[in-house]
Amino acid sequence: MNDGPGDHDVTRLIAAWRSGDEGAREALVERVYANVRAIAAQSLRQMPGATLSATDLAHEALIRLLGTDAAWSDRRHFFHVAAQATRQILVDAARQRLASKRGGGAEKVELDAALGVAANDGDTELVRIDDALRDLQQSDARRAQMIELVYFGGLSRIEVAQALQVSEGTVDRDLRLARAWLRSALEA
Amino acid sequence: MSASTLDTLAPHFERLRTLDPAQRAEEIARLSLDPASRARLERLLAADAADGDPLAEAIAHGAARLHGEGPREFGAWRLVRELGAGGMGTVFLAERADGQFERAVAVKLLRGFPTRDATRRLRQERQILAGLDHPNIARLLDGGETAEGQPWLALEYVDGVPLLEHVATHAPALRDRLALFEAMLDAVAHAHSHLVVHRDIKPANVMVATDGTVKLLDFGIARLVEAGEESQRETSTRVFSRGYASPEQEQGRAITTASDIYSLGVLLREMLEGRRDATDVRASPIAPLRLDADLRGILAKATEPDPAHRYASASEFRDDLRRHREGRPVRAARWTHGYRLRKFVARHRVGFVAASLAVLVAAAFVWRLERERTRARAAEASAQQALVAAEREASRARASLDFLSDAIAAAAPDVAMSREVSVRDLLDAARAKLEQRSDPALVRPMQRLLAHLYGDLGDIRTGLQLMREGVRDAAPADRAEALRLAEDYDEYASQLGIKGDVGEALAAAQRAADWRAQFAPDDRVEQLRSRQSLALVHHRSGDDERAIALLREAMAEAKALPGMPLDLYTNIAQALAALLATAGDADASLAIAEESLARVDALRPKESPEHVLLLRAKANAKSAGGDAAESERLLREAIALQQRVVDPGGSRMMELTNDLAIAVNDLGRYREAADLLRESDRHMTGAGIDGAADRAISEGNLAAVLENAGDYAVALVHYDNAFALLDGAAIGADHQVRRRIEREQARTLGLAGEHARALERLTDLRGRAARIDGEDSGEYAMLTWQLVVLARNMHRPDTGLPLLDEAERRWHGLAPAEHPIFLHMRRARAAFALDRGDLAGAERELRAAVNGFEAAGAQPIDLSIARSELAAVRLRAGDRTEARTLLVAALPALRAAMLPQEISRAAAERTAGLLGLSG
Repeated sequence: MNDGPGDHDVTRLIAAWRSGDEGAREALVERVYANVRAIAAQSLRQMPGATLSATDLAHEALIRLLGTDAAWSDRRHFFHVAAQATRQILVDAARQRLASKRGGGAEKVELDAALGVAANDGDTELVRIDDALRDLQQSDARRAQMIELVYFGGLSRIEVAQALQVSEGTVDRDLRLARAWLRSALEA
Repeated sequence: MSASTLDTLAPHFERLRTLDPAQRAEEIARLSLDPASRARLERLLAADAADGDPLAEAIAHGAARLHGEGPREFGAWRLVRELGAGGMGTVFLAERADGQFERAVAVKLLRGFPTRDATRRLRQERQILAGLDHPNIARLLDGGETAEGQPWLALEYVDGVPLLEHVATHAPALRDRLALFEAMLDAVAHAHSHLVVHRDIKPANVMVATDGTVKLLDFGIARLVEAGEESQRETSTRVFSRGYASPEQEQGRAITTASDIYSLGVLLREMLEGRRDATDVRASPIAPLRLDADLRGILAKATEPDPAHRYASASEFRDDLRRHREGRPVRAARWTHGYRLRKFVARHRVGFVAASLAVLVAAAFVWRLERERTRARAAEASAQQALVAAEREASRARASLDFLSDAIAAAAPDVAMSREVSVRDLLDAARAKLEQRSDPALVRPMQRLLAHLYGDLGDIRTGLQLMREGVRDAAPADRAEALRLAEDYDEYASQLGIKGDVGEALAAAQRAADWRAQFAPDDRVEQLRSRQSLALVHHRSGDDERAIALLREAMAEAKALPGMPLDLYTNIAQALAALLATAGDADASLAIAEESLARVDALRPKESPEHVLLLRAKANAKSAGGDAAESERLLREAIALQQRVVDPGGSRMMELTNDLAIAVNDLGRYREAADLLRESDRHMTGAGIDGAADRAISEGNLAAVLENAGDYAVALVHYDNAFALLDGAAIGADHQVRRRIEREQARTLGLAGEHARALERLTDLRGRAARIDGEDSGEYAMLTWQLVVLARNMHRPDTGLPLLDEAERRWHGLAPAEHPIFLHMRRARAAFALDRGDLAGAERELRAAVNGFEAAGAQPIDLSIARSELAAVRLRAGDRTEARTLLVAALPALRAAMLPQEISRAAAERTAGLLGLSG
C-alpha cells in the first residue's frame, strides 16, 4: 500500500474525514485494518526476535501509510483511526478464537483442559473490555477515547494531550478515572 | 453508571485516592452522596488501588496471538492446530514432521523472547526436566528455540480426562480417590528428589489417562517460563494459579517443595469434598464424601499457611495417607492438639531445616565466605606492621565480604526454607550486582573471586571471562596481595588448561609461582600451591610423569605440614590418585584416595565438594583395579551428591558422567554407556569446555563403547572425528591423548577385520610406548595384549603365543592376580589351542576362564562370552548336551548387550545355529 497512489489516497481520505465525511472514515478504517493485518501476519518472518505489541502495530501502520514526515494534524487523525482499527482487529480475532473453541466440540475442550489452557483466558477478557469500552463510549466519549488511544493506539500521555487538545494533567486525571471505571466494570 | 455520575465523582475520586484508607473512609462518610454513588465511588477507589493492568495484559495477549497463525514446524514436530493459550504461551497439537510415529504431542510455545543468557538457563532447566522419568509424570520429550529465538517444548500428550472430571463422572470410592492421589504424591516425590518443584499444581495439570493412570502435566514448566524471563524480572509475573497456589507463592516469597505440598492438599480436598476450602462456594459436580477426623487432619496439615508446618515431603504426606488407609494412627491428627502441635513444630522445624538442601548448598558458600573472612582478619593483623598498605587491603576484603553477603541475601531472602536456590542462582545474582559497580579496586578482586566460584561450579566459560577482566594490569605491591593474586593466577591457569590453552596456562602458573617465590620465600604451603598448579598444567600438556613426580613431592610434604589447608590437600590427593590410576598403578591410587578420604571425612560433612572429589578418585582407582561394579556404585553416590548440592551441570558433572559411562561400559552395559557418554558430552558443551583434547577424548570414548556393542563402522567414524580435532589443535604423535585414542582405534580396526591396518598401528604405537614410557609401563603391556588379541583374530598362534607370554608377564607386574585380564588371557590361549587343533587344551583354558569369571562374580557379559566359547568347543567334541546348557545360559546377555555383528556374539550365534537354538 505504501508504494503507489495509496499514499495520496490516504491523505485524501483523511482530509475528507476531517471535513465530516463519515464514508471516508469507514474507507480509512478499512485501509488501516487491512494494513495492520498484513503487518501482523508477516511480523514473525520480518521482525525476528521481537514480538509486536498493539503499539508497534499502530505505529508501523502509520509509518507505512503516511511516511515519517506526515503533518502532525494528519498523524493525529490517523492515530484515532489506527487505534480503532487495532482494537477492532484484536477483538475480532479474539471473538473468532472463542467461537471456534466453543464450536470445536468436546474433544477440543478436553484437550484445552489437559494442556492447562485456562478457560477464562485473555480472549474472553479482551471481548469484555471491548464491551465495557462501548458502554463507556455511550456515556463518556472523551474518556473512552483516551483509553483507546493509550491502550490500542499506543500513544503517550503527551501525544494524547495533543491529539485531544487538552492539558496533560487532564489526560492523567481522566485516564486514572477511566481505568478504574473499566476495572470495576470488568470485576462486576 | 452514567457519564454524569462519573463527572460528579471525578473530583472526589482525585482527592480521595491519595489518602490513606482510614482518612479516606472518614472523608467518604462526610460527603453528601446518595448510597449508590457512594458505593460506586468506593468501587472506583478500590479498583484504582489494585495492582496490575488487566487491560494492557489482555491486549498484549491478543496481539501476541495474532502472530501465532499459520502452519509451522518446531524441530521434528509439525503443528497440527492450535489448542489454545494460557498464561505461559500458546499450545499446539503436533505430530512428527517425518511421519515416523503416529504419536501426537503437545507443543508449547513459551511467551516472549528471552535474552541469550536466559536462553542458556532455559536449556539447562530443560535438561533437568527431561531427566524426570516417572510413570505418573507426562514427559518432556523435546525442546528448542524457533529461528527467531522463541523457546518451545514438546510434551507427552496424555489421552484422557482431567482429574476432577474423572472424579465427577466415575465418583470413585474414597479408597480409589486416595490411590489416585498417592500416585500423584509418588510423582511429586520423584520430581522433588530431582530438585524440581512443580509450582503450578492445579486440576487442569492432572489428567487421568484412558487406562486409568494418573499423570501430572507441566512439571517445572512454570519455573522454566520464569527462567526465560529472568532478564525482565520486574515486569514478569510469576506463574501460578489462584486458589491452588500457596500463600508464600501469592506473596512472591521463596517457593519450595512445601509449596507443591500445599497445592496438593487443596487438590486432595477438592477431589474428596468438591471444594477447595471452606470459602469455596462454586457449584461442583463432585459429590462430597464424608471425611473422618484423621483425614481432615491430614488436609489441614498439608495446607498449613506456614510452609514449615506442612508435611516436610511428599513421601511423608503419602505415608500418612497410607497409615490412614491401613487404619493406623495418623501423624497429622495427633498433632492437631495444641500442646503436641507446638511440640511437634519445634521439633519438626529443626528437622526440616537440617534436612533442607539449602543448608548444604550454603555450605559451599560458607567456606568461601570463611576464607574471605580469614583474609580480612589476616589483613587486619598485618595492618599493625604496615599500616597504610594493609588497611587498604583490609577494607577491600571487608568490602567484598559485605558485597557477597549482600548479594547472597538478596538472591535468597529465605535461604533456610528454600530448597531451590542453587549456588548458581546466587552467583548469577552476585555477578549482576557487580556489573553495576565501577570502582576497579573493588570490582577486579570480586571478579576474580567470582571466577573461582564459577570454576568450582564447572562453568569455565564464565569463569575465564571474569578472570581475564579481574587480572587485568594486576601487579602486587606487598606479600598479602601477591599471595592472593598467585592464587587467582593458579585458578586462571587451571581454567585455561581445561579450556585447552596449554601455553597460556603454563605462563599463568609460572607467574603465580614467581610471585610466591619472590614475596613469600619461606612459606611452605604457598610453595606447595605452586607445585600443585604446575603439576596440573604439565598433566594438561600431556607430561604425566612430571606431573606425578611434582604431586608425589607435594603430597609427602602436605602430610607432614601442620596447618595444611584442607582444600589444597584434597586437590593434591585427588590429582595424584587420578594420575596414578591413569598410569595403571591402581594400588597406589587407591591407597592415596582412601587415606585422603578418611582425613577429609573426619573434618567435613559428606556433602562437601572435597568428599565428592575424593569419591571420584576412589572410584577411578577401583576401576583401574578392575572393580567396575564398586566404581559404578561410588560414582553414582558422587553424582547424587553433586546434583543435590552443587549444580546439575557443569564440568564436574561432565567428568563424573564420563567416568560412570566407562564403568558401565566395563560392566558390559554398552548401550547405557553410550547414552551416558552423550549426556556427558552435553554437560561438556553446557560448561563451555571446547579444548580439543577433551572433545577428542569424548569422541574416542564414544567410539570405544560403540565398538564394544559391535557397531564398528560408526565407531571408526568417531575415531576419525577425534583425530581431526587433535590435528586441528596440532596435538602430535607423542601426546598421550592421541596415543590412547590410536590404541583404541587399532583394536576396533582389528575387530572390523582390517587386520593389516591394525597391526601396523599397534606395532608403531608399541614402539612409541617403549621409547616414551619404557617396556615396564602399563601402556606397553596394554599394547602387547592388543597385539595378542589381533593375532587371535587373525588365527596366528605362532606370533600370538610368544606375545601372550610376554603380555602375561608384564601384566603380572602391574595388576593383581584376580584382575579379569588374566581370565581373558586364558580365552586367548584357548583360541590359539583351537587354531592348532588342540581341543583338550582349549577346553582346559576355557573351563578355567568360566570358573574364574563365576568365582569373581564377574560381569555377565564376560562370563557369557567364555561360556559360549566353551560351548563351541564342547560341540566340536560331540557333547551337544553341555554345549546346549552353556549356550542357553550365555545367549540372553549377549543378545541384550551386543549387536549381531559383534564377533563374540556372531560366533555364539553360529554355535546356536548348529545346536538348533537360533531365533
